[in-house]
Amino acid sequence: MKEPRVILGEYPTVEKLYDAARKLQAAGFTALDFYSPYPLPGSDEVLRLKKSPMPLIAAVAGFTGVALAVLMQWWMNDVDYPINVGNRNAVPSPTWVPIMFELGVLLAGVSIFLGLMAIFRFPRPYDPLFEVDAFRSATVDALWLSVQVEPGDVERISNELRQLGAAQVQLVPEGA
Amino acid sequence: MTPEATAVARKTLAEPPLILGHPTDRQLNDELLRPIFDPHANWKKAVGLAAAGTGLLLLGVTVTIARGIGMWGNNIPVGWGYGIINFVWWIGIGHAGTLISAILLLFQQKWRTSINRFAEAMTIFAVLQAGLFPLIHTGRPWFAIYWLFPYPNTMGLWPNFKSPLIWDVFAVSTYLTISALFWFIGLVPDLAALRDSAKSKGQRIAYGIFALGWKGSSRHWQHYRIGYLILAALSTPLVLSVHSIVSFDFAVSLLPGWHTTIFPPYFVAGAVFSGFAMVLTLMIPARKVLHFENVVTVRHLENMAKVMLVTGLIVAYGYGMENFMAWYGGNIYEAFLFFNTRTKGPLAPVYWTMIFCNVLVPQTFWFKRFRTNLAWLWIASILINIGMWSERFVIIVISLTRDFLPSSWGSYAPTWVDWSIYLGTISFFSLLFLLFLRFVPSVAVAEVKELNHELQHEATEAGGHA
Repeated sequence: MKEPRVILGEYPTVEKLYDAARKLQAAGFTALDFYSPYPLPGSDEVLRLKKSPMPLIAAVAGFTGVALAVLMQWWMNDVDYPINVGNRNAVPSPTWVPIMFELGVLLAGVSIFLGLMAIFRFPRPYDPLFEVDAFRSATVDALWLSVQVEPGDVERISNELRQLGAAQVQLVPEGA
Repeated sequence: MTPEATAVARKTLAEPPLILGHPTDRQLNDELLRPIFDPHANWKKAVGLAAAGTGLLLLGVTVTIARGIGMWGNNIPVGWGYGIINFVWWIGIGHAGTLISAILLLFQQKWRTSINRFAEAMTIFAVLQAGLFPLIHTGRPWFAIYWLFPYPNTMGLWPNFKSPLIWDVFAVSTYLTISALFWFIGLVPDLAALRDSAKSKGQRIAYGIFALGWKGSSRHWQHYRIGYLILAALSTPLVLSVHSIVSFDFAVSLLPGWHTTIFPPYFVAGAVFSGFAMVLTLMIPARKVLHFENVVTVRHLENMAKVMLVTGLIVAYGYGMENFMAWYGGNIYEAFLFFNTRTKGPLAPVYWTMIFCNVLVPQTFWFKRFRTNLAWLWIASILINIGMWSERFVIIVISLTRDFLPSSWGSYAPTWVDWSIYLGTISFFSLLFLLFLRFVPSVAVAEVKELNHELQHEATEAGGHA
C-alpha cells in the first residue's frame, strides 16, 4: 500500500480557511491541520479537537510535588534526624507550608514543559513540511491548511483546494 | 449631548493605540526581528565594555574564595552586608518581569504584550545575579551544598526545614526554573519565525534547533495556549511567595527593624516597584536604539509609571506603618532604632536617600506631564533603583549596627571586594542583556501579531478606522 500524501494550501483569510476545512471534512477528509503565526480563535471547534490534557497533567504533578514535600520534610526532620525547635509538635508543622507550595509549583511547571514536549513529540527540528519552501510563511504572516489524502486523490483534492479559495497549493514531496 | 460633543468626548477619552501605524504581519515580523539580522553598529563595543566589567565580578569572587569572607566588610555586629543587600535587590528587580508576563496576562492587560519578553529576560538575568550572592557568601560553596539541598551525605545530616533560609533556597530555585521555562515556551513560536525568516543557512539551522520543530500547527497551539496560561497562573502566586519568603529571613528574627509583620506585602510591593524601575531604565534606551517606538509606545511607558506610583504608595504606607508600630508598640529598642538610629545615626544619609527616592520621586507620577516625559522617567527610574537599594541597606545594615546592648554596637563599611562584586554583577547583567537583544527576539513577535489582529478586528467592528 502506498503512503498517504500531504497537500498544503494557503488561504488569505481565516473565514476561507475554516470554510475549506469544513467542506473537506464533509467530503470525509478528517486528517486536517492549520498553520498560523499566532493561535486562531475557534480552530479547536473547526478541527473538532478533544480537550487538552494539560490541566490534568499539571494538577497531578502539582499535587505529587506537595505530597513529596510533606514526606521529605517529615522523614528528614522528624524520623531520620529529628530536629526539635521550640518543642513544637513535629507533625504536622506549619513550617512545612512554604516548601509544599514551592515543590508543588515546581513539579507542575516542569510537567507542563515536559508534557508539551511529549504531546508535540518535540524536539523535532526537521519536519517533512519544511521541504516546501513557501510554507516558511506559516510562522511569519500566512495561514495554511494541510490535508492528508491517498496518492490517487492528490490531483482532485489539489484542484478542490484551489476552488475553495487557496492562494497557492503545494504538495509535500514524497518520502521526505 | 449633541453628536459633535459625543464625538469630541470619545476622542478625548479614547486611549492612544498600542501599536502605531497599521502594520501588516510581515512588516511587524521584519521590524521586530531586524536587530537580530542587522545588529547595531555599536553592539560589539557595548559588549566589550560589559564583558570588561564582568571581570570585576570574577576578580571579586576569586579573591573571596581564595582569601575568605574576611575580604568583605561584614563583621560582628554587622554579619550581613552587601551580600544580602544585593541578593534582595536583584531578586526584587526580577519580580516585575513575572508581574508583567503572568499577572497582567491573567488580567488580560493588552499593553503587556510588547514588553513581556523584555521583562521576562530581565527577571531571569536578575535572579541569576541574586543567586550568586548566597552561594559565595558561604565562603566555601562546594561544602555548603549539604545545608542548602537535601541529598544523602556521608554525615547523615539533612537541612533544617524550619529555617526560612532553606525556604529561600527552594523559592529562588523554583522561581528561576519556572521563569526560564515560561520564557522559553513563550519564545518557541518566535524562534520558529526567526528560523523561517533567516537569510543564511547557518542561522536557519541554529534557530531551527532552538525552535524544536515548531510549525504553528493549530493542533499544537491548542495545548500550547492552555499550558502557557497554567504556567502564568502558577507564576502569579509564586512571585508573591518568593519575596514573602525573602522577607521571612528578617521578619522571623527578634531584631528591631526586622521583627515586623508587615514585611511580606511590603517586600513584594517594593520588589515590583524596583523591578518596574529597572524595566524602564533598560527599555527607554533600548526602544530608541532598536527602533521599537511603534510597538513600545509612550502609553506603555506611562502605564509602567502608573504601576510604579501605586507600588510606591504601598511602599510608603509600609514605611509609615513601621514607624507607627514603633511608636504605638511601646518597645523602647524599636523606638530607638526608628526615631534615632535611622533618622539621626551615622548612616542616616542612606535613610534619607531612601525616603527621597522611594517616597517623594514617585509622587511626580501623579501628573501626566511627568509620566510622559521620557527623560524624567529614565532619571526617576534610576533614582528609584538607588532608593530601593538604600532600603535594603537601611533594613539590613542599620538594624544590625545598633541592637539592644550599647556595648555591642558597631559600624559597617564595605571593602573594595564588596564593590567589585556588586558592580561586577551589574556588568554581568548588562552583558547577558546585550546578548539577549542581539540573538533573541526581544519583543514577543507572535503575541504582537495576534494583538495587531485583535485591534484591527475591533476597529472594523466599531465601523471604521481607529
